[in-house]
Amino acid sequence: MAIKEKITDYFEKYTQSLNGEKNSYLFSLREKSIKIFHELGIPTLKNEEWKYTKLNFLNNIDFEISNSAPHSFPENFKISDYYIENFEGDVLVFINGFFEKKYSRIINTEENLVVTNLNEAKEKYSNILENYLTKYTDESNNPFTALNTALANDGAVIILPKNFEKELPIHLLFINIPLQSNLITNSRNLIIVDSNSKAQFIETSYSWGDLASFHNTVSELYLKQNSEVEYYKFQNDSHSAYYIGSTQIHQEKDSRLFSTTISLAGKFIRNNLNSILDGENSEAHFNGLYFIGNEDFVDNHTLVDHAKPHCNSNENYKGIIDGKATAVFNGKIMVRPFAQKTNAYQSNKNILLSEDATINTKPQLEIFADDVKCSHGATSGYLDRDAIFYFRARGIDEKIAQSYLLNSFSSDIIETVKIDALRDLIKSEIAKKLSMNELYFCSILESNKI
Amino acid sequence: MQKEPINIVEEITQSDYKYGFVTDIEQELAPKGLNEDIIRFISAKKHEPEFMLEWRLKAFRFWQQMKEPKWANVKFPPIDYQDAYYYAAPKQAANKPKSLDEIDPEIRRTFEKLGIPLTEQQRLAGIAVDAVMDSVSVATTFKEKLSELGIIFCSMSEAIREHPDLVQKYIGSVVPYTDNYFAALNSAVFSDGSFCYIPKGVRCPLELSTYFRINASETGQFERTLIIADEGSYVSYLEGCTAPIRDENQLHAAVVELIAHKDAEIKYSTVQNWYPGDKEGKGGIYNFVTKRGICEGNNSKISWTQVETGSAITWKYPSCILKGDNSIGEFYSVALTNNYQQADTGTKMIHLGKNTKSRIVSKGISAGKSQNSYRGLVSIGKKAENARNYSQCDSLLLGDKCGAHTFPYIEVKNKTATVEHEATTSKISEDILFYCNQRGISTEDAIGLIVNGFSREVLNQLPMEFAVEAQRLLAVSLEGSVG
Repeated sequence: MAIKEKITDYFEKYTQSLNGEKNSYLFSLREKSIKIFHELGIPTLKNEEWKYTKLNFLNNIDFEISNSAPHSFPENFKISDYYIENFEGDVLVFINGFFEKKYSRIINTEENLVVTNLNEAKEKYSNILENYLTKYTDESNNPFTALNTALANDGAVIILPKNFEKELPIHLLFINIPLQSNLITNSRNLIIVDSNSKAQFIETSYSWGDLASFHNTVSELYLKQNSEVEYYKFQNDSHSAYYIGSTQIHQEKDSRLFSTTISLAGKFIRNNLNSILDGENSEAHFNGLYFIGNEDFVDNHTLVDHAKPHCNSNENYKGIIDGKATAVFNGKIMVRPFAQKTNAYQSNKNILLSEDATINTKPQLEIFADDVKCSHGATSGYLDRDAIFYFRARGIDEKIAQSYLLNSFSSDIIETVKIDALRDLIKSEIAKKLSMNELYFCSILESNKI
Repeated sequence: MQKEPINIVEEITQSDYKYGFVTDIEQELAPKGLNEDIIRFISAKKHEPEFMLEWRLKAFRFWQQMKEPKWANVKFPPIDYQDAYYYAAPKQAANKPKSLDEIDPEIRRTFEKLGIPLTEQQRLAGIAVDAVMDSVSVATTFKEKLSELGIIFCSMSEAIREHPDLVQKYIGSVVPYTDNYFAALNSAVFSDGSFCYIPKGVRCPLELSTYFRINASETGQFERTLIIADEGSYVSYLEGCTAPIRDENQLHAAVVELIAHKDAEIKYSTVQNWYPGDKEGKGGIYNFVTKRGICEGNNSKISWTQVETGSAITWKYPSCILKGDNSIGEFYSVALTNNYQQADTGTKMIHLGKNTKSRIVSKGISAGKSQNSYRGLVSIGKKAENARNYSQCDSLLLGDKCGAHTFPYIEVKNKTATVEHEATTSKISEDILFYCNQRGISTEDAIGLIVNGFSREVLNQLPMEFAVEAQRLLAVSLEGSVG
């Protein structure tokens, strides 16, 4: 059965299993969304937003929709492998899309701080969910967002009160353990940071085992006046992992967003990162690094929507593509009429390392206001041969020279990660990729700092 | 000796309709609408060989199955393809304005500003004057000079009759009728156009523009241009004109094909200033053109230069297929939109051969309530070792109600390729205007000055005499766009 029909069928069964919930607001959202999903269907390459992104795995692989967490873990599964080493802060663990309290760690230091999961929040915070869920998401033209709204099992709900600076970061950890069949999970996160507050978030997804698993994640972030958020995505998943994740950010006056997306491995990764700068003097900083090989595929779609005057945005994505991997970058800057005095900058730089690597990049500007400064740049090339020669002339072999150069190429993005434990993890994973001795690599980093 | 166009009409009117077409219609005008009979009619009128008709019919049948594309960043009401004439031979003198006094004073003012001589003004405005003797004789002299060198330069219909082998070999080889909706439509119903063949090792001694300007007849609705530069030859060709051309056809769907063989170079320049519609955005020409060149042989070069100031909607992407090793593609463009004009233009550089190079310089200027988009593709194929591309697209915004958009596509499949793309958008700052005002330069002149400086890199690529006119044209087109 084609995936579209399978999902529609599943939704019908799912509806029948509901009793009291049918009258809820959430359910009416779900019903609306499944209709949209059915209308839109799975996008083809003719769809401009999916021009370089083949989605045929959805029909080629026989997926089942996740409806419960496994009763017990398989023998060789160790949850500790997935925690970030030396990480201090809250961890919310979701297995097959369901919240697992016993593996999570929630440190509550403030009375009005809410760190919980969607199923819990459904009753407790129903009015907040009603006010915020799907307010700015791209349901109407992205079938995967619609699918997520229709079928989301669970997810994180985090609400920061006013004037609160959360010192420790929050890690949202999604693990899929497909035991009997290939698995689809839909996770929905809602994060609201009230005025003058500050927080850091990490989102990671992992897939265990050889059966395919498809994470379809949607996160909604609301930044109220003068709030500040750091939002990190780290992707280092297996060859059986398929991932489509959308993050929709809404920023009010004077808010600041710092986002870094690092993709190192995964069979199929699609990141949608959209921010609406909907208040004067707000700022968005998007950074990204994709360093992929094998037959991996990474697609980063970003949209900075300048809706109000006097906002700044700055985007910097870098890519290293090896093996038979393909990377896609599509960055769009939209400046609405009346969003005068906008400053927007965007850059996408790529290095291809092998014969069979491919990069498709499309930096896009859509400008409807005149008093703006917008620029973008995109490059693609190979490592500088002269620079490699310089190393070799000094007795450093080509492989190490290459590592040095790639390391310095990517370091400015890695340095935008402000959480030490995460940054160390990224560095050590990159060192593994460069097949360098970790210690040696660290010493390079150290010497770079001087 | 090749026939003068005037004889063709006579011939047509005297000929029989081979394909049993209903004859009780006006001689020069096929009935409205589009069907296979109309295409047979056009082909018969033009005395085309069998292969041409077959090709047209294939294109038409293909077109019927296609849908009008919607992806461009332009908006226009749906076009009724059945509500148009697809064959209108030389227009009746009776319908034309009798003298310059009948011409819109706005257009006449523009003529004066551009410094166009009176006789030429009359011709451009479509006034029914007797053939200007001077021009005809000059044209004939040029023609003799060209044919001595073996250069074939004639109308497309003439080429189909006189050189069917060349036409059959090359037509549709760069832009097949299956390419896109408007190319298919053009292939089915194209009325006329230019054909040019430069033999081996010949350097065309004059800008074909010069000739073209003197000999230009009314622009057809569906023009088809084919230029072939054989090994080691060179040609520079200019189409269009800086002066606003009066025209009654709303939809223009032209096709231009360029073929550059080994060591050959083609330089194709366009100055387009068709009627852009009035200040409220009513009327104006839709200019939906498919232009593509192929660098077939090694070391060949194709260079596109365009200055687009006219038309209500411009939708075109002059492209280069860089097939031969070491071949070079260039694209220089200035697109200026004012009032309610819309432009979605750019280029495609398809690198297939080794050491191929391409350069894109695009300058967009939007004023009034216009929308100006750059859309370009740079594609580096797997075998394009050491390919090099540099793209730069800058936009200048005048006024707070216009839009400037950039859609660059970059696809790289070879690691040795180097691709660079840069784009900027900004407005003319008040400081700069103030600086000019202070020195006694009016705001309007200052803007003209800045726009010209902004576009200089492209204007420099135009043939000499056009560069001067194009500069004036930019200033004239921007009139009234400030305060």
